Amino acid sequence: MAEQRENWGSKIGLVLAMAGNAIGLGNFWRFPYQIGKFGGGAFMVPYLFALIAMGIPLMISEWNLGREGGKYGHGTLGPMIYLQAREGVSPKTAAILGGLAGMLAFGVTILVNSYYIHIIGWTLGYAYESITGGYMAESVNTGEFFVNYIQDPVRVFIFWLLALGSLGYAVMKGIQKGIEAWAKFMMPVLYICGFILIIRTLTLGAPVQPDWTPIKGLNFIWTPRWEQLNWTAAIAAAGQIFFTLSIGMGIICNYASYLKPDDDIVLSGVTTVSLNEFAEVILGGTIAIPIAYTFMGEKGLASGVGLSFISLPNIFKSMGGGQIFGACWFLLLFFAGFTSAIAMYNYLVALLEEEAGLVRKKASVVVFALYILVGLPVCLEPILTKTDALAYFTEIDNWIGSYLLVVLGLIEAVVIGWLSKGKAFDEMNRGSYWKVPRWFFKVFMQFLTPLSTLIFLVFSTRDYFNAGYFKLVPSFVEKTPQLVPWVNAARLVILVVFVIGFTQAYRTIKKKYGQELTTGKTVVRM
Amino acid sequence: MSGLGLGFMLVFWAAIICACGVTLASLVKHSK
Repeated sequence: MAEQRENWGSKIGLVLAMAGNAIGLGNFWRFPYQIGKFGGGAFMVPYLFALIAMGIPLMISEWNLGREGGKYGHGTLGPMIYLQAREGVSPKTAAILGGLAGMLAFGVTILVNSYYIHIIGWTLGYAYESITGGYMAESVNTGEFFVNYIQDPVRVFIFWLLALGSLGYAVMKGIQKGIEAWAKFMMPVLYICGFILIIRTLTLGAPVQPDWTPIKGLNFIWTPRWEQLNWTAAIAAAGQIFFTLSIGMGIICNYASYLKPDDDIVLSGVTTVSLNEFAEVILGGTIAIPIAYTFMGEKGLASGVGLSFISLPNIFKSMGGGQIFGACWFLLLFFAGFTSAIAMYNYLVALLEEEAGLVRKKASVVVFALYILVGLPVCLEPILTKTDALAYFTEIDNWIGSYLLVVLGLIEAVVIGWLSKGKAFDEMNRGSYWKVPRWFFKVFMQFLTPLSTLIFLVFSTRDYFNAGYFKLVPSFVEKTPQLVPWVNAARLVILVVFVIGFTQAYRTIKKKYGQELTTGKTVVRM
Repeated sequence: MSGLGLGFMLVFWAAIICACGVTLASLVKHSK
């Protein structure tokens, strides 16, 4: 089985694909408004702490989990966690941990992508609208334009299916000819689009007011506002690190499963983090916010998630060359989202190859159909209810796209730091160009990473409780009772996906390691 | 305007650019 698995074709292809996996919409869409909202430069203090204490150790751990799992022929997280956990606990307990991890990764790859592919479709649609001048007329209100867009079945379906079809086609081609080839094209284009936009941003001058310049916008956004540095900001920073690095999702592990047993993981993992930070802090932080400040002053920084689809289009309308730069911005978002969504898509294909013995082509078609099924409620809600609250999407994102990433991160941290311990340490240094020092493993991977992740989880739980997400009718839909069924539907879907995910992961482990579960002894070792 | 924000930003930029340079150069060196 292990011999049939594909490998990455080149080191540069692997690193670009991994960077593409990590670099997503969060880098360009979420980071700018997070730094604006949570204390400017002061936000970077907990951000940096979270990056060092959780981001880098978990990134290396996920590469390690994946490469080791791939050696045994696994591309999914359940058996990967089992293989590491059985070093410290009985095979039965390890199988339960594997089942839980597999369940969470299954949930992420199905449900996060169910809305993520829609957002990619929107970016593609908006790139088209930018080029064709769809929202460029003076009379167009970009807020209303966005609401009309998500309520228009024709445009939503066309661009959703285009995005989904392209993903399916790329994954169908395999690791080297599909994912790696597309990453080699898309990642350089993404960086080029980013540089073009930065140059344009920094040369905007002061078209509205003498005080509103891109440099002043940058200075304003980066000036530390220490009074805003609190637990909420720290939690937001830690959440941003999980989201931006794609950790706690299982997709980094899946890509790492296509490594050869002695391929480097430490240096490659740290390079992935560096490239992601370049895209997030330098590109992501220097485009949207300074543009918004130049045209709208401080008011532009309060746009939140509407920055990309409402505020920026409004600015592109009045900017010289706005059609081109608008298209460039949305294509950048499209490429960033595409290279992450493809990783989630491939995880499910790997699962079907592994579990059902399907060939890649067939598995890609099945996953395509699955994404149509789970993606339908996301686009049907605004069309059918004629609202723009996106309650189904919000409920799925709150739990699967944010909260449970931390739970999975904690499982990984405990399994690597405390259950596999010395074995994981030896494994991650095998074949690696840079070695993880023993002190780093002890201080970070055994102590700081699990502890910080646990604290992060506790405070996230408190924030979720205070925000009313645990209530039978969550606070965000209390005033819109017609949307409550959509929230309940989201909860039901999550439950069903989790039951299937746990059963599948546990079954896969039992199928290959059943003898170990019965005898309590390790039998299969490579 | 103090310029403190820009100074803060440049420190982060420098650190990230250095990290990218060092990691990519090491990868290229080891890949040969």
